[in-house]
Amino acid sequence: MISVKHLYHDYEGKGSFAVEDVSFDVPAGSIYGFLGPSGSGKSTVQNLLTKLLALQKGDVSYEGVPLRDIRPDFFNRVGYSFELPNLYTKLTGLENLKLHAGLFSVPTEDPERVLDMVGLADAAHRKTSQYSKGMKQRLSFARSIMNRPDLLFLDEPMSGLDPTTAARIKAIIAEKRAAGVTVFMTTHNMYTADELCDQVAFLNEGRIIAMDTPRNLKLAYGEKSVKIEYADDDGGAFRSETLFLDREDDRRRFMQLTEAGRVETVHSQEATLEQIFMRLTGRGLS
Amino acid sequence: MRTLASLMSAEFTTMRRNLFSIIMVLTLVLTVAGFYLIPDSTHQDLGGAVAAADDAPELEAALAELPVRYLGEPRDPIGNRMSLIINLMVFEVLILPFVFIAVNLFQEKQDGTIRAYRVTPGGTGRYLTAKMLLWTGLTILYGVVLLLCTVGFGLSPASWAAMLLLLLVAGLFISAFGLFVALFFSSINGWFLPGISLLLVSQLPIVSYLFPTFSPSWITWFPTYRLLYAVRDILTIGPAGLMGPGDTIGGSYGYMAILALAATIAAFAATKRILMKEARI
Repeated sequence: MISVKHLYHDYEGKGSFAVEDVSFDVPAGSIYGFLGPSGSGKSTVQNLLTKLLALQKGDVSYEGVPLRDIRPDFFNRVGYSFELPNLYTKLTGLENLKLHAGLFSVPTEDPERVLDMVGLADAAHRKTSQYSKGMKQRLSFARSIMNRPDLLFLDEPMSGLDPTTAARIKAIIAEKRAAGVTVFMTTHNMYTADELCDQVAFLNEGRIIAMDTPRNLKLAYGEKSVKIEYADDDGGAFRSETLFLDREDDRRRFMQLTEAGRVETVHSQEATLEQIFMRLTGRGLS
Repeated sequence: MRTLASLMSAEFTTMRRNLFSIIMVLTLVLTVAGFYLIPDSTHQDLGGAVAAADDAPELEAALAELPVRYLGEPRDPIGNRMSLIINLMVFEVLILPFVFIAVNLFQEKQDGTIRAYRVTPGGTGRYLTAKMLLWTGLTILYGVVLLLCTVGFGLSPASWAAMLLLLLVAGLFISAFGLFVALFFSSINGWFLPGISLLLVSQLPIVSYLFPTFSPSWITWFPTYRLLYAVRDILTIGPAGLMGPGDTIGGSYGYMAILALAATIAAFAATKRILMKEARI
């Protein structure tokens, strides 16, 4: 669906690249996550893919059609949710969606239904200047799906959302993928990426430093071990041990503790995406 | 059409909630009140009164001997009220799109909505067209209401048609020019001084209007100069001015149409190169 080859971008033209030699492919109907801290170049890549920034060096194509040959009508197929919501603050939520729907020459969603989907039905007639950060984020997301896109760009879609609302938005994104929509998502939230993405790329200082499925990354960089907490012999204090289940001794010890009924908690010790990122870059995602 | 309607609706609703309607209604009420409050005398009335009071037949006789060269066709003197409306039709009605198109652009920049617009199929042409149509329409509406509240019922249908056409071409020019100027500023604070200065300079032709002997050729190229005399002729002698020796109305149509075309091309190019390319708005 999306093919990116050797993408570079230099904002000031002084040889200081915000994005440097970035290449990746996004298969149709998948969710592709760009994971990295603020300033790592995630949004720059997204802006280059959507022509918000002019392409300087490298190739981007959609279904084999180069970006420079893409006509404005192509945007009938594209939805974009911005990190900064970019809403008409003097208009209500409903008016914002109606306006946006009017910009497309394809069938669009019912704005009231979409507002209901993102939990903003009650605030439909309030001016967006009165919305909280999370409400604006939800409205921006709602706007991005108004034209029933088959290509969805989401820039930090969970930013400012409470866990319940985030779960609702994640469910919609998953539904879109199931319906064949291709999603390109930037985030610095490892849980979102882990939960939703079919593939993730770690971006650091403008370069991709690792790229694979979340599962493969965790297997490659994590440990096949469990951390176990159990009550000691006299039933007083709790103790914990890390056991490597591919070792015969540890496996026997694990069985011994579980059969004795002393185990309180068991945690698998696979690496989180954040731990992998830290291991690769020496810095965190936030 | 759907895109244009959506953009115009959003722009109008935004302006309405920026107290645009209240400002315009208040301005209209004050203007109409001013029209009916000033005495409808002429300069000639005052001149006659002074001459009578001085009772100086010798002076009058000497003045009658002086050769007189008319700058245009001799006309009936214009009353104060009509003079007021002529000036307001140019400097109030036509300033409206210049100011409000800028105000709305800065609101869009502040909200960041242009960035969201750029990832839709809308495009630069529709964006510009929607703005120009809306503000030209509102200019015509405001001008018509102002005339109806003052001198409009005394105008012939031909004068109305001539006035509507003039408002149309002038509205298109000034809205495109207003957008073009505003595009070079990031906020209303930056625009305010240059924008208001430009408006003040555009009012220089009032001096020529009040003192017709001051008409250097450079001032006749001001769009407001042409508009002022075109409005005067439409309201006083009607479309007959089209065929008159000065041909102020016909000449103004042509001049304003050329300016409107040039301003539209400039605004389109600037919108495409500046507004639709800015990386972080």
